[in-house]
Amino acid sequence: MASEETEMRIRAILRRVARLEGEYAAGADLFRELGVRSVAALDLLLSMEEEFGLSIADAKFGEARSVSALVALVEGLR
Amino acid sequence: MSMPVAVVSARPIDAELAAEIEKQSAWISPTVTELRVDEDGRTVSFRVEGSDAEGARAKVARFVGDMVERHRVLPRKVVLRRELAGRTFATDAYGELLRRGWVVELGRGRVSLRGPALAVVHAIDEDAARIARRMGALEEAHPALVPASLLARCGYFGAFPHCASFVTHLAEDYDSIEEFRRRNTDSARLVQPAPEAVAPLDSCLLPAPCYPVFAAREGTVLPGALTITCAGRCSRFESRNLAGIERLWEFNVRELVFLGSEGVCAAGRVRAFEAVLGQLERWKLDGSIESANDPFFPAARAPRAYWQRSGDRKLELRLPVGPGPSGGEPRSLACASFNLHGRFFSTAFSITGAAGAPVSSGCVGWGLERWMLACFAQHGFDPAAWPSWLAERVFA
Repeated sequence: MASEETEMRIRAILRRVARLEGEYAAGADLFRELGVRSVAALDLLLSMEEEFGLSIADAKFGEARSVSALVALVEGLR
Repeated sequence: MSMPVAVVSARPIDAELAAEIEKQSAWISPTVTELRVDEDGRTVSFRVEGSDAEGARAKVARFVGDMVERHRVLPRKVVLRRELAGRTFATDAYGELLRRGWVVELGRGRVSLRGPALAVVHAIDEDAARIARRMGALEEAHPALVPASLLARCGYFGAFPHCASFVTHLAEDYDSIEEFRRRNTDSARLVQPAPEAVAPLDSCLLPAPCYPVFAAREGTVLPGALTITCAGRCSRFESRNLAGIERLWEFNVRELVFLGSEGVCAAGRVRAFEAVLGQLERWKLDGSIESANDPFFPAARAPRAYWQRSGDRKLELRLPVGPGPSGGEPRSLACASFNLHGRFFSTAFSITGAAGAPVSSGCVGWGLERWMLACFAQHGFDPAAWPSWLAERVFA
């Protein structure tokens, strides 16, 4: 349940910072498959830190390239 | 008449960002000088020429805000360091090159080369081209003067508007050309034409040799990976940071470009990286390879610098060019860079692989004049101190 809510919140952030609308697979690579521009990465990271009140290591964030990976990252830090 | 002014940053400024802020302050205004980040890491002090101190303070505050807001501290990684024991550095290699007449300044950021200085530039270009050929690179030549739209499509004006060098000409109007001719006849300096006598900007000098490599392949499907080399003159305006050979407006670069899968580009960069280490050995040069980011315009900086730094997408070879202050770390310059672009350029120019998806790209660039300066700074001016194979070429 918690991860579903986390996923919804991450998708909302992606809608805002990367204009990622509509349906897309949680496992799809944000940058390579979904066309998120590289300049959106920092906004995504900062927005996630603010949204979840977490400090996210840059190396871990760099490895998390899909919604499901970002959900796992956030859940792992809680 | 100038007056001291200060603004206080809303966020702390680390030492590396402070150095970038001080360098980038050249773009604020000619009336804002001597900008420094104070030791408290928050106060930015500067002097204002003229009477509009409040206007200048507001502009500096916007500039500092753009630099610090969303800035993510990512420490510079030193991937490799090569230091010869007991190395001493020429204290003013550039001054000596000028005194010997091997370098002649034609204007701020523009130099003529001759004698041993030119011979070193040729030697490094040939050495880098040889590395490229060994990696199977095909040689190409591209113009230094390109359509402005080419740079626009590379995102250049969104990331580096301050560095762009535009080329224009007088508008095709007989009377205004004659007016310009008349006013400039017998004048030893350029008498500026009226703004309306100049054609709209539509051409630029290339800031990096690789852009036309992508543009010249627009809409193509690559059957396999491709490695290309080209050399060219590059122009990047750097305002009052232009200084000697260290920071030229126009300079020469030898480039190696990879096109293919992400893995092919990453592997190509590693091979180039190893080849450059071999170069340092042959040229007997100290140097270090470090993570870096490009000097993006302040308002565009944070997300782009983060992307480059967080993924080690840009690495620089820094060569010492003089002793450090008070016997500290030697002063160094970026003399080569190793870059991964992802699919940025192939998406901009619709370059795809056989499967129909945009390919990845990467490049390695050697800055020829800076490399030459590093040679004189590290080996000095006595041919006996140079590697013998190089001394034979340079001082013949």
